[in-house]
Amino acid sequence: MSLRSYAGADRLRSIVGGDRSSLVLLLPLVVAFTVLFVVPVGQLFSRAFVLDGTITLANFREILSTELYINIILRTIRISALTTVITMVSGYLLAYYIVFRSSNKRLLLLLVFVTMMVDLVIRIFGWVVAFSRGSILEIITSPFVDNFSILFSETAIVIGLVQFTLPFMIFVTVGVLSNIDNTLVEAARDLGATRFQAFLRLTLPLSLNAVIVGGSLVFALSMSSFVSPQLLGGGRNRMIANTIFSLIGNSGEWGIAAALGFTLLVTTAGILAVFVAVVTTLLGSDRP
Amino acid sequence: MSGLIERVLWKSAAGGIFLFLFFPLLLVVLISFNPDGFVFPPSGVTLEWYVSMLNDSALIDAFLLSVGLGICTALITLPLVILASVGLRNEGLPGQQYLENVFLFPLMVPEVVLGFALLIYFSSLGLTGSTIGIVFGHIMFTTPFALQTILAAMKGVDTSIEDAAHDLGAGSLQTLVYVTLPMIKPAIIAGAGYVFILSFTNVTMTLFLVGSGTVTIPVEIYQYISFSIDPTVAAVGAVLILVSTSVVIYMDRVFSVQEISGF
Repeated sequence: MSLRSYAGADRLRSIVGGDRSSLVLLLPLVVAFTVLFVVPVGQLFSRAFVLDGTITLANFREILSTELYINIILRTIRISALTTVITMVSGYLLAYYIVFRSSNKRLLLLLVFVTMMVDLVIRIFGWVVAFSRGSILEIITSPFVDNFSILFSETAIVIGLVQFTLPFMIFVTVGVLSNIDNTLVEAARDLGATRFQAFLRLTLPLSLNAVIVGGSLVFALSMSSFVSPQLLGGGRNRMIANTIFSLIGNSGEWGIAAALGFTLLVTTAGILAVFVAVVTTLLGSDRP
Repeated sequence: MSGLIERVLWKSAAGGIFLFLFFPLLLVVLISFNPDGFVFPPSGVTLEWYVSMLNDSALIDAFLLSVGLGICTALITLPLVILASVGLRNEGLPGQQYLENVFLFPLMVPEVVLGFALLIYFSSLGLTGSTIGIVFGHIMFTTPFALQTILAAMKGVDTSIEDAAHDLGAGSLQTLVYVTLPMIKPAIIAGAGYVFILSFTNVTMTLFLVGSGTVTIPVEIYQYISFSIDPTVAAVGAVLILVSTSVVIYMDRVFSVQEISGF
């Protein structure tokens, strides 16, 4: 009895005292987070809903009724969707190779991490040079294509974005695939499934999370990308982020710029919600 | 036989994707030594672009500023995150799971929006274009990444060892400094490297925060190549590739890459 009450008191003390000290430890980060993130972003988005001192949706109405903005939003979605499909397929493929078929997983992951951590501007500079006239890529492709100059096109943007987003997809997928119990796949093979059947019916459904999380991450990164479209797309292929950037120069347009930022966030979230629902029904129904 | 074909197919697919990932980096390094600049094949090897880089004081100043900013950001972000993760690993805390996710919110907001928000906010505080403003921005931007790495390590700490230290008479602070932190030292080193690189390489958000005397190296390069492409940028690029690679290799010696990335 005395022992139990002692343990109870101890637990009580650890909950009450522990929580209070936990809160104290969290305080500096909470303050920094509030002052540097919540307040500025809140202020910015509130600007989107205010015009001449009154709360209004006028900024959003202007975006939706201007063909230029609609085209930019549609282009952003198109480029991001294409990037996501290419990155998901090739990223999954490479992650599968790294986890199940390579002999030096750690080294290969390190290489992927290096490409992710090098300045994005430098990587984009590499692509700008590669896509310019007279470049090494043009020399290599000259026997097959006779005018290889894709700089300032949507194709160039997509290539830059795939290179930027691939490492993220690979890391997410490697994380998920590494947790799959390999004995399940062996059991399926023992029961007569071919390697491909085992993959389709077992590994793929079990790694559904990689497809959802990785795909969403890649899509969100592409939707908000700025450097790739700015340097590889040129003035004619602007995406939402570039448009926001160019509006900021004129403080009279800050309301529209803020509204575009909000639209970007909402559009991305909306499309991702549909994507997650579709993938879950398509692949999830086949779950073992 | 079919096994062999399968192996060759896999190896070439993986090799092709790796080639794609490294292609822009290899090209930059190649150009930095090419006397003919962007013209291939090269007629020899030169260091002239490196010399022209060293003679460009704007590039050197920007590089040094970025190194300093990266170190400052790591020195402020890490203590904040370490303290917070000691608090956050306590699962009895009301709303602990919720709080953990809230701190990851900045990851979901586009960098252009973050930069724009800070630009307006800082202009009302008189911090536009200041070094302090850039550090503040980088602290906010790097916190979610560092939190993922360090909180994961903190949750893996065996609390019975800390209880033992308490029983032997150590105070809370002593236990933290002499027992808990040494146990997660690899995560702290890796987290510091991660924060440094994220700050050192950030361009989109930083573009909104720089002023005339406070241009960071990625922003300097961005502005440089927006107007003209010049092989000097390739020399800078080769140096930056070396910096990032060295930091990553150093991080990997203490911590596995998969754990750093937090996925």
